[in-house]
Amino acid sequence: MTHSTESVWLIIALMSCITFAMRFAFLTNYMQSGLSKPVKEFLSFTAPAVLTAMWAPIVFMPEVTEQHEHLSVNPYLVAGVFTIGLSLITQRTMVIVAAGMAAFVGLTFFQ
Amino acid sequence: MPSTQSTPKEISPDQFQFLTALRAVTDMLPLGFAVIPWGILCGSLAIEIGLNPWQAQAMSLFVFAGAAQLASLNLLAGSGSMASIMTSTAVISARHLLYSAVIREDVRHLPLRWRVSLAFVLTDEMFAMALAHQAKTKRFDPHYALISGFAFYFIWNVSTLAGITLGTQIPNLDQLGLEFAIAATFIALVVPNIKDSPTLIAVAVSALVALACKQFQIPHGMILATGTGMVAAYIALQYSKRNGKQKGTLSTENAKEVK
Repeated sequence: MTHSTESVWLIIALMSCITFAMRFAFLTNYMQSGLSKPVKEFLSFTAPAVLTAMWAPIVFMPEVTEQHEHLSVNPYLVAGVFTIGLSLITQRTMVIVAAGMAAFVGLTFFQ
Repeated sequence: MPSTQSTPKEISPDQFQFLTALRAVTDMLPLGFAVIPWGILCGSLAIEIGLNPWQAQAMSLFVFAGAAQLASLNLLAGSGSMASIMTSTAVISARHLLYSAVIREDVRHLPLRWRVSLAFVLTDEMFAMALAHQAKTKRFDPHYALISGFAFYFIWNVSTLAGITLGTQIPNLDQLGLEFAIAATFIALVVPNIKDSPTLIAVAVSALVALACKQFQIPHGMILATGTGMVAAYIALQYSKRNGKQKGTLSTENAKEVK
């Protein structure tokens, strides 16, 4: 991390403002009406799109660090694909994450 | 239970209802337990990448948004710019705009302190619980929403504290694959919810654009990927609506034929 202590505090303060603004936006009395249906439909895609934009590079294009250099298979890719497969079968997030992590740890330590 | 349903309709929001409070807390417990690992992850990851314990806890106390916190920690670890962290926070928490728009009509008559407090604890979990309670009792209960929201807030912060303690005591926690834990968490949040083709398109386009941006070192790849994914999904939704109508009429005709 290259950010200084002060800039981390600034980041936390700004993030707090952003998340609160999103939550409070339509609860102010200044807003005359709610969101239109097309805007609601559009916003409903934010979660899957933004979360995928973050997990896809970790799984499919991981930066192989020194500690994983010696491994013959890439633990991020293999455990990632396993986790995706698992989440197609079950809906239980706890099970998916626990099993995915177990696969990752297993692949990094016992190879 | 009839005891809570028979409460007067026009009740002052300042009147404290013990039963509602108790129900709000117990209803929130399963989701609260489910969030403990993420809280631990947020706390320990923050320590691991170099935040001090106060900053790590302050993030959960004031930002109070799991996905946005994890994403910003991920960006901080990679020395991402302040602008990229703010943009990702805004994009990830944009779904809360939806929630506040939905509960708007039920809370806009309440005093400012109520609306501010409700907004502060408005999370995916609190929104889900409050709407489930509304469906059962046929009215939105601000007491219920507020108390379940703060119960969740409490659990989130205690589990963050646990993560901070772990992170300061066990060095090299990242060797256990904390970055992968973020990926696994996000996969578990996204993939089981792909129930229609527009959502699938949002995920596929977003993934491909994110990977292409990383491959060709295009800056702001995450934002670019999110934007294109959302636009593609929206277009697909409009397209499927138009086609869906035609298919709908066809299938009813087919059904008649079968009969």
